[in-house]
Amino acid sequence: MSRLALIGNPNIGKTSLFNTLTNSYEYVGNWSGVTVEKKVGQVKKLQKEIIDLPGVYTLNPISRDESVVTSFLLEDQVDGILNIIDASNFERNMQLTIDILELRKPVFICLNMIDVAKKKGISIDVEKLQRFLGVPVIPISARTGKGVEGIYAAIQDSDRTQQRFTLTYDDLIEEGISKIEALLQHIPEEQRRWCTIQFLMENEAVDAYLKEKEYFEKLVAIRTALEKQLGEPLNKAIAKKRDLYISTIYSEVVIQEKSERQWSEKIDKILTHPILGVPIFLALMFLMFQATFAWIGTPLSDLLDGFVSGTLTETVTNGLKAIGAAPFIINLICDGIIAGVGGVLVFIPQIFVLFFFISLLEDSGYMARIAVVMDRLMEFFGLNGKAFIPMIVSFGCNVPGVMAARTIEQPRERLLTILVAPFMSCSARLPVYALFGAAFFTEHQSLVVFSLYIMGIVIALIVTKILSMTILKNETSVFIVELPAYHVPQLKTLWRSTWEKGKGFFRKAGTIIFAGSVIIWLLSYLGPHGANVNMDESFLAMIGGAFGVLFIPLGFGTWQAGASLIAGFLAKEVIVSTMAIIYGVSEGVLSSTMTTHFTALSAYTFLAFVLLYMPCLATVGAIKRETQSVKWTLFATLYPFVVAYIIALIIYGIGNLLM
Amino acid sequence: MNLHSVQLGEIVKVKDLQQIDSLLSKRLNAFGIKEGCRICMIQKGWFSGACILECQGQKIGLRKKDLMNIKVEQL
Repeated sequence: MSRLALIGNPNIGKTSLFNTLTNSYEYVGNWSGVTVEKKVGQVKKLQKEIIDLPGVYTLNPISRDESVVTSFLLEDQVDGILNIIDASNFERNMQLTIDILELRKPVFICLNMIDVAKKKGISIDVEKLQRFLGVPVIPISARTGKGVEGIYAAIQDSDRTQQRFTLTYDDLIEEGISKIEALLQHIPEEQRRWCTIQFLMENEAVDAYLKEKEYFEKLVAIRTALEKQLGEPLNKAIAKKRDLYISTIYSEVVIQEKSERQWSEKIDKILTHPILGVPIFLALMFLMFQATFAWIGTPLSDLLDGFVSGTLTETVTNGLKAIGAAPFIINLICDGIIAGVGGVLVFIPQIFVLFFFISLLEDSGYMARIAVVMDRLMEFFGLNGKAFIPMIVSFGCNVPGVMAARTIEQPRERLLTILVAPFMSCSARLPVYALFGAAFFTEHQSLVVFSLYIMGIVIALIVTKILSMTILKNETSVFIVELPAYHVPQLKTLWRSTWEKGKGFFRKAGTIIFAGSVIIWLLSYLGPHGANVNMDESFLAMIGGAFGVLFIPLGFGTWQAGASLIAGFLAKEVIVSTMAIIYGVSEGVLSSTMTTHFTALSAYTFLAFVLLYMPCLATVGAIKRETQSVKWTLFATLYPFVVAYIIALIIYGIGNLLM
Repeated sequence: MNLHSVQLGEIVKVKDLQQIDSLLSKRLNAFGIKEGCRICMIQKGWFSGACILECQGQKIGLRKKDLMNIKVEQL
């Protein structure tokens, strides 16, 4: 099956188009070198695969997710490129289009956002543009799917002949190009010119690709000599020529009339207001949590909980008894697996509601506004506003949060963001809050949970400040962010990205949480004196007790707390599984038993500790991949424990003074 | 005159981008912001916070310290 790559600027409907074109899709492995998952979709109608690439402004990368696109074009073979461009922002989008056209693969230009352009008073002569560029230009609406048939038709019509787009640069540069082309014999002929031009523009990804070749030094010598001859930086000279070309096209194909005032302007004025911006953001966040916990998520979770702990457990127990299963098996399945895995699965509604809202934030274009509004605050703490986006994503799950730090240009700021993102309270910690909330803080559950989320942010900021003043200082900070036009998210895209985030939770339930539940149940069932022992004399109590001693100063120095915190390193939900198994077995009424081991204060201290104490196993893996450093990974795994201990000590101390 | 001292809603012409950080300059280039183009101040941040500008149909957020390094002239 042949393959097409989908390339375009960020925030111009690329994912919408991908979702419209593909019936099904999957993540296939990783890119070489960096770990961005490769998203490949099937287009049944064409018998083709489409590869979704990260959004980029040019093929000359600055941040890490951008270098993925260039490396992909260098190393993988595709049969054509779908280039989606934003009609309302023609000139900027053409920069990337020229980069792509020079690659001399078949290119299909999908002209999106014509409606937005129209509102701005811009219209584009598609026929003329097509003639200029020598490739098909298809007007579409990625959102509604209008015009997609045109893409199918264009792709089927294309006779697979090479397009020969050539933009001729100044004589001196052209001379340099031919000199370099002569050396790049191992690169397919069609791509040689593109590779050369990118090399002249000091594209880091191309440099890295050519570095191992024995003639690399010769190439650099040609580049340096050429720059000297020109008397100005090469990328500037090349950009000048391109700008000239783009403005020629622009004046021929784009008709600009007077625009009408847009509704989004007015909304934007309020949402990004210098004074009101922050309170509005906090209010929206509170609303999001209120919906997740009080209005939608919790009622659904309660229903599910009733089913799992009641009907399901009874049915399975009766069924197992009927077929004459051994008591050991019945206990393992009902008290171990159903209690452990089920105890976590009942939180699915809450988690999905939260993921839904995070996807909504991402898709609507509000995220970038938050970055601007928050930049001043973040600058004070040694980061930039963009770092706030990984933090919000981390509310869903720390793993994509750590990966979202890729969009940050400055390496030091990126590392800092990765180090503190796990302090954000992810959805896996939510079951723990819900469990304790129901037992100890029935009246003020939303408030308690909200305070933990805020605590996560505050601690992250303080730690950032300390790190940026000590081990991670210097380097100037950079902040630049595009504010995409607001749009009402497409339902399919919203659902896909919610599912994308949520499905990992099911996978975890079937693997880590399942295995964890079985092991913990076995450890609680077995002891030095044989099987089916009193749980206080089990191996679990011994291990948990040894670790639990550490927490006596924090008010929860029990073996139950110790055991669940160890288990929580696998995945935070396992804390709930462990508690469900421990307390479920002993009495059945979880909350009343828990009150014998926790007071309201020590419960809150425990929650704060759970929030901060250690990134889960999956997050540690993500940190390792993203930082490519064992040293930083170890640091990121261990220092939160110290931070958590100090904070818990403070909370418990102050609480005791007040009570 | 630097870009930060421009009034809200005023449209000015970019004169000089030499002073800015090289990473930022690369990104501004990709956004099509270069000498000679028109740019409009839309929102100024509080306490010298980030500002929002409009240029060639797109909105971007930039910091005060970087705006101070962009020289502009009135139309």
